[in-house]
Amino acid sequence: MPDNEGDVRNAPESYGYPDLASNRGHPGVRNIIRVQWEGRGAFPGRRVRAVRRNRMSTTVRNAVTITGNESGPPMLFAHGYGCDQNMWRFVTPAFEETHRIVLFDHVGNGRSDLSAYRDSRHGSLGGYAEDILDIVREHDLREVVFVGHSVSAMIGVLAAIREPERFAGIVMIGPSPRYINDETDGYVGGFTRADIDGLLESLDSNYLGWSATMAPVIMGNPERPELGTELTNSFCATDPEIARKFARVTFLSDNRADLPNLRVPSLILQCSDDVIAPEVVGEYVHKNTQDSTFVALNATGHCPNLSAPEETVDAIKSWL
Amino acid sequence: MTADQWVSFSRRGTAELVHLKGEIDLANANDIGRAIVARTTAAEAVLIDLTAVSFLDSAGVRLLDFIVGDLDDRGKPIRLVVGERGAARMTLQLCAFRADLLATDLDRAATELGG
Amino acid sequence: MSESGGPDVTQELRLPWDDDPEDLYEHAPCGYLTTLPDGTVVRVNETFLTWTGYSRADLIGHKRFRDLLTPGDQIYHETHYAPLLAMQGEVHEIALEVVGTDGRRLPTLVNSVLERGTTGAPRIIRTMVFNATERRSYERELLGARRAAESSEQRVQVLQQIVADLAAAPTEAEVAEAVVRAPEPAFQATSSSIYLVDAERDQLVAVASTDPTTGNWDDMPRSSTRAVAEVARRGDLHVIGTVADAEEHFPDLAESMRRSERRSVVLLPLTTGPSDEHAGVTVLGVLAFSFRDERTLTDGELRVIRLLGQQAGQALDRARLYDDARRREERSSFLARATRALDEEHRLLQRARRLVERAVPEIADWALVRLQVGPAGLVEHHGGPAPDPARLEARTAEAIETSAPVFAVDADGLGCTVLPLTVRGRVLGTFAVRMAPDRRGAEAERQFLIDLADRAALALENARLYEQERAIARTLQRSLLAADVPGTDPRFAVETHYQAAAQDMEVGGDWYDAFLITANKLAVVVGDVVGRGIEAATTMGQLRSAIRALASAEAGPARLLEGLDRFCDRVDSARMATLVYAEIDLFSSEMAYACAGHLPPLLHEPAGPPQYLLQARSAPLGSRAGDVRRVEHRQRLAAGSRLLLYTDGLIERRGRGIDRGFEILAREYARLRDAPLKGLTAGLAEILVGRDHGDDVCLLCLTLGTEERLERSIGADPLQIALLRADMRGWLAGHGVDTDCLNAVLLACSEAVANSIEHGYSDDPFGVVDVTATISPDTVEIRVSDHGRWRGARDDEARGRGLQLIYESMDDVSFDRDTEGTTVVMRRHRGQSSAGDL
Repeated sequence: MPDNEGDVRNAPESYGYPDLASNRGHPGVRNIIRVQWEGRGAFPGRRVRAVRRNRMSTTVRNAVTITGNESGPPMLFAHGYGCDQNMWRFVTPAFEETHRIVLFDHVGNGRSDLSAYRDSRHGSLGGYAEDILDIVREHDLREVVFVGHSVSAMIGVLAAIREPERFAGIVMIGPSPRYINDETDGYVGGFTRADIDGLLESLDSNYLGWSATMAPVIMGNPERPELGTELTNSFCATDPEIARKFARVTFLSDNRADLPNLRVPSLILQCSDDVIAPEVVGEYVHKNTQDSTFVALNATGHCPNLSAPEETVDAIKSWL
Repeated sequence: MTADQWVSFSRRGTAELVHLKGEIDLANANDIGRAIVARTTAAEAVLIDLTAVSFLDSAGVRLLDFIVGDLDDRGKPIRLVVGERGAARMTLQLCAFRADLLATDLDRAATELGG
Repeated sequence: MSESGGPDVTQELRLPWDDDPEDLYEHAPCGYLTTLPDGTVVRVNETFLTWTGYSRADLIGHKRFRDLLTPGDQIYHETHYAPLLAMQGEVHEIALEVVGTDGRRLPTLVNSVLERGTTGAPRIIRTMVFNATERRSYERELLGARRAAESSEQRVQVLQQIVADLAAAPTEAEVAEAVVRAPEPAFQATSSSIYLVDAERDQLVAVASTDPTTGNWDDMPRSSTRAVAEVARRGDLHVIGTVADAEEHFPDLAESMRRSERRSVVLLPLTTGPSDEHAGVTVLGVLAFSFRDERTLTDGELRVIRLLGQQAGQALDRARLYDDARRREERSSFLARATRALDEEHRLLQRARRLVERAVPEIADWALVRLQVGPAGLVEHHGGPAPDPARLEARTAEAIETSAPVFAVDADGLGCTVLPLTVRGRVLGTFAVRMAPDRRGAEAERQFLIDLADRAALALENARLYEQERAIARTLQRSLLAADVPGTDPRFAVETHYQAAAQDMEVGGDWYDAFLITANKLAVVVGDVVGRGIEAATTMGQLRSAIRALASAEAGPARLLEGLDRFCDRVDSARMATLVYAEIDLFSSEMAYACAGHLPPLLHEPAGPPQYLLQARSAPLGSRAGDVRRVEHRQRLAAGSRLLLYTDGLIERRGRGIDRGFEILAREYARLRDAPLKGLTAGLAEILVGRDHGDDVCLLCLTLGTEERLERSIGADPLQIALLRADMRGWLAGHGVDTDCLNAVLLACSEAVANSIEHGYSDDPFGVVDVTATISPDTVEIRVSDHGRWRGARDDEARGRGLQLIYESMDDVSFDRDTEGTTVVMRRHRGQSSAGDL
């Protein structure tokens, strides 16, 4: 009942992960919040009450890996849509001497625990921000330098707004607070709703191939025959269902109103010729975010961390 | 232990009147003493009626001696009323209590104190 | 090769496998592209140009590969293709659509290889593009079919699981939980909630949700205009595909859809009854699930959803019946247990306490019983927090006024039900309970509470009556027992003890009595009336009076018992009473006694051990089977003899034979030979039965005549001095010692014993002080001995006064102190003394 389904972005942290019926085979079960019937015996007295769920370790849930200088200040790298922590492979070596490097995969991507994906939590970027905060709390990270690519830039902004005391700075690589143009106020995000539907179609087109390599991920997991040749696209493996949902959340979110609430210094790295996050969007982020530094990179495309790692590293280092 | 079964109090004019009865000895003297002191430390005058006391030992004497001393120090009058005969009178006489402290008649003693 | 010289046609032919590589590149059956690492096209083949309609000049140096893609694929290229290529150096069979100059979309499969320079830096990307038009349409079909199959298979699996869960769920709560889980895996719902119908209260109650982070969990009346209530009334499936739809039909739903960002909602009634005819169904609840995006449900899905509604409805129905049965059972079991628990207590206060302690927490979180007994009434409560006192007061007054229960209803601000405790039309008090809110409305719960109040009222009324009777009986018994036992005659002394049973038993029929028949004849009696309670106490009083009336100087014990036998003909409750009766001639010290079915008296003469008097035995009073030829026995008692009469409570003890009881009594009695008479009977009761005894105990001890020599041993306890003094006072008086002398000796003796206790045994609480008194016509001599080590006596001012008193009140005092202890010997002349002119 929608009446009772609130804005999950504001869902309290206490709705962790349920251990309820975890072996029943359908991931949706994990979303249950049990409304307890008190005094189950003869006389149940109902009080609508949410049971505190057991929290899953973020190490498992988000495949957290920690390397680098153990005593250095922490850098938390968050991959963007469509990829996983491998995308930082050319960047992190430059910080290993000086920083504690924390890498992870968003739920549904890479080696994360797919069963931890919950529509109610991951139906908005706020849920992903909560995941970030879980990691930060579990490893008691402080003075974190958060490096977020693409959609993770916004996820980092939301996390830093919720618990600013944890963060020393936010590095946003190709950020966009809204990808779809807004005709009501003339905002240019670069895409139309139809474009996003095209993306979903594209995801579908590649679904067979993906599902062939991601054999065990579909819920219910019926035995499925191999279709086509096995692909070698082994990085950035994504559960196709979750990929669709993550695409929606990513490209249909509007976080413009959140930007002014960021109280942590930030660095915006803007590529040239980035179709996903055009320069005008980067400038919008810069203009609406206090204490932000804007750096235009020579690198083209959406992934300077892959296409121009040196330039990316230099920009971050000089800001730090 | 409560001292109620051996001691009770009333007023006679300005004087605090203490009634003692039964046997007063080592076993109960301290409790009785505490009860009396609680009522007499601020009294203007004190009358202790011992006519119903059937036995009085040295512990009882010690208690009375203390109360008399306290009243004397404060310059307040005190009388011990004892019968013509009886255990209390005997013990007090054996201990050579001052004759001016002892009285045989409650009313007369009260009048003396009041005057 | 031809030798004939004809034309060499082979020159004209190009072997197909000897193709010009350049031509092969240009006209290969796939598109070739070479791009810079940033995607800028630097070389492209003719095939690709033909497919797309671009000219070479349009592309080379001007376009990047991704620019040729649809917008959606551009994103896919940037977010998947490019990163993968950068990381792996190659990607395979990525499906992308290339947009031609005429806007036509060409489905392709793309393979790319990234070539790196000597430094490892990316140099160029070689891309091969296959036309996948046909394959893609086939794949799409395949994908569609597969998706459909997968989702239907998945739905079926989920449904199977749900049905299995439902079958295993014994309670409504568990059914609700199983059902609310279904929509997410089965239909990709974003969240779902379940509401159950509470028929008793005519309400819909939200019981579980997969996303209860916010929202309105209030119960709603079934008549509510809210969408859920509407659907529950209509009893059929509602699919609200868009917010606009909701707007039109269910404004409340539209509002919450907007608030929680939902675009489609399904409201599924959970029904029981025939599935084909709509009219016969009963709605037991509503499952509501919603989608973040607009969702169209296929016919297949709708079928499954309806099926879910029926399955869930049946499971709910079964669970409700099961719940009802179990609750009924639990209620009756509670009533039985509560009644039993109340029966275990006899006293009113304890019963009231039991009642509230039973109620909380099992059926309520707070309970209070208030009884209109005594001047202040009785209040017992348990649990908390206590409700508002003023409101409770008002409701209590109403319950008493109307003599009917006032049940809690929702939002009454109190939440307490108050029931009058009524017995035989009289309101004894009230019982107030606060139960969980969902229990308030149910009729079965109300009936249960009324049952409970009825039982409690009866139990409490019985306890009240018991209490009343007990109080009367005790008063009666006490008044009878306290009647004047002669105590000032120096020729004898009587010590009695009555101890009521420790458990809350009704008052017993034990009694003792001692009275002077004539100036020189003493009668003592101890008896036991059959039964307990007020009747026993009354009978005891009657018997006691009868004995006093029948006793005469001439009759003697046997005649008296005969008289009592006749008395039993009129007072039947006295029948089978037992008693021992003795008359003592105080001149001759001759005793006559008779035992009517009673335990034998125990006599301890100054010389020799105690002996049970086993003569003169006959049957209990009014006995029809027993030998009622009444006999009596006479014997002389030596001066100083102690005679003990007692009831069976003294020696009968669970787990101990009566012989053993007799043995112990005789032994202990002998041991206490030298103890002061005062406190002797209480001491014996303490030793023989202790405090935890199940029966009343009644003792009477008579000391006859005056011992020539008084010997007592007392413990080093100041309290014992008074007991000793009482004995000695009687002894001295018995010997005719005059008052002055008596007082002086008592004083000296007390001081000497106090000395021994305070100094001799200052470090030994178990020390014993021996006192011996002897008398001659001229002199009284007291000897006080201890075995302690004296400390600091001489410089103690208070003890100094004690010593002074000893010297002053006695004529002759001597101390003998050695390592074994100290003995003081004091003498005083009888008659006019030289010591103090008193």
